[in-house]
Amino acid sequence: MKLAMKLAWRNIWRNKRRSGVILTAIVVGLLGMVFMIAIMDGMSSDMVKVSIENGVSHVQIHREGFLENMSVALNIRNPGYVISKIEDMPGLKTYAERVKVRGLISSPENSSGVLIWGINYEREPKLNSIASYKVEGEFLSGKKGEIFIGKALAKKLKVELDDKIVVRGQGLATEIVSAAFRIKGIYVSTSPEYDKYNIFINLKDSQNLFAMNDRVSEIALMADDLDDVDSLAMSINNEIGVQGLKAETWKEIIPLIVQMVEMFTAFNYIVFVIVVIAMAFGIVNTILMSVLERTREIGILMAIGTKPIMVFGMVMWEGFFLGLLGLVFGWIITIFFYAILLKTGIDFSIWADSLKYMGGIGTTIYPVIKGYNVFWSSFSVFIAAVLSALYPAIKIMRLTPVKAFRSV
Amino acid sequence: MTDKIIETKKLTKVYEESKVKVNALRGIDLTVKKGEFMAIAGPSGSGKTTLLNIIGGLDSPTEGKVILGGKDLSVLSKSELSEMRLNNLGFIFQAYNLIPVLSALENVEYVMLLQGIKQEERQKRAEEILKEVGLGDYINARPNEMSGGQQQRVAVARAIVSNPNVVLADEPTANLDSTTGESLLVMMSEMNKKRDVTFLFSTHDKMVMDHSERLVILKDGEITEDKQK
Repeated sequence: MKLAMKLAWRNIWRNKRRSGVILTAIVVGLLGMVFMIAIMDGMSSDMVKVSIENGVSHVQIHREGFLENMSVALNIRNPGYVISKIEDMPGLKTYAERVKVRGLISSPENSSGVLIWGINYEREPKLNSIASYKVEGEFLSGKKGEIFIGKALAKKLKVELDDKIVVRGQGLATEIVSAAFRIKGIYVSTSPEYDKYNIFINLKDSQNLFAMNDRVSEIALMADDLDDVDSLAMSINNEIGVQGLKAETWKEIIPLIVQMVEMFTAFNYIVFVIVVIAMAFGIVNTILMSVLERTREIGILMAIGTKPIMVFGMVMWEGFFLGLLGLVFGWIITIFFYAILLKTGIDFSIWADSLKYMGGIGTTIYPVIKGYNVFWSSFSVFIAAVLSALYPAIKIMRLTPVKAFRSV
Repeated sequence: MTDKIIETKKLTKVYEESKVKVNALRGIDLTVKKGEFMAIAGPSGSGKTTLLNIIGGLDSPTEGKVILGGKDLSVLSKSELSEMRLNNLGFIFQAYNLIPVLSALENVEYVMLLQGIKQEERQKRAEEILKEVGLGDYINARPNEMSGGQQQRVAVARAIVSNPNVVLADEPTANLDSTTGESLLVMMSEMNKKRDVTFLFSTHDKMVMDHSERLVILKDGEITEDKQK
């Protein structure tokens, strides 16, 4: 075996250009696979992160059925009691109460359908990025009559800071209610669609407007860790489920994002397999060429007493070494690019319009390399390289010395 | 010089190329005794290389059999044939055919390595034989760093180093100039005497025929002449 290894190692260096072609194919294949999956994972995690930070949060507590029609009647009657039951739960990082009602916003120039968020101005920024999106004015301060709207909506309504606008919606007693608000601040999030649809007022104002007293539509929660979310929701449901309330995780609240993530994963697998197969064919072709070119030489090896199994082993070792070298170079180049892209991200602004509809992710995607991604990519590339040597190895092993001599 | 080392019985080889049958060998009966220095000569296509290949177990006959050192080659598997070649035969080819990625020393060591001889012993024997063929200064040279004559000397050293019973040499001087060819033949003749190794050449080089002690002439796959000098 030692001799087969030695010959294999030297053989791969005898035609440096050809070995270079194989190594390049392996490196490009590995790089392509790792980064394709890393970009997809980056997009997926960005979509999830943006959605969670744009108000979905990790867990939401509602009266059962609220998410289906957002009826003001489906509310949490005693949020203080619910909070007292959950606030000391392990894994809970923070929470905020909200009123959410679909309504209409009007300016003298225009009107638009919106989702009215009544938020606790102090607690909400701890689990929602909305305050950080402020581009003009200030975020809510708890004073009566403040409203925080998106720039896209302000443009549509043709309003500016400090302008007055009217918010309408259906109150708890099913009557249509309305109130005037002064624009305290304007925000720009990652998605203009989000900015057009979501408006924020103080929790107390919303409770007064919709005659909800102390009631809220939902309590949003953040867990310490994304992995704690399911167990946290389960604990909450065990505690408050009997009161007709339900804690739902972000996966249940935004199934479309979950489906997109699953679709990305499936797409990853398909492209993964295609890249491995394409790369394997390239390697088979090059190793086969290299072996066939040496057929006479291999015939001589057999003639002077080398057993066919050793010839087989020699070609297989060539595949092994090429795979191993490809991995080492591939890893070095992958780490190099990853270090750069981790800082700069990949600019997808050319597709900014399309990205708007992908859960509001930004136009700069930061690849996310996961351990299992690197492992499976490396494993597949390595196995493809080794298995690529199998066909040439079997083909050459079956030759007799005389057939090998005649092949040239 | 009385032991039979090679015996062929009614050896026939028919090649079928594009549905045309070519009779390369037609019932060759040949006996070679241990220590002979003999040549099989004949024009191109007479079957001399085919005969050498079949005797060396590199090819199989259509009919008939080869008995080498008392063993019938036709009953051996591919792997057993490799083993037999490794321990009983040395090969010298027309185009030198050294392993290009190995040095002269490593090329000579190769066969001993396959035989499982320890490194120290291997190296000692390889160095000695390379000195014997006049290549003491080239032990670390790769084939592409040596002339044709030097490469063929390494091939001779490789063929002889494992003390085989028979060395089969297919047109060993064909690619060499006459001076180099002559000195190679002298060297092989000395080895034949010194080591009692049987040398069997296929050739159409008159110089080889002149040096050989027995000359078998083949024509159209049949022995037409067998003369002891």
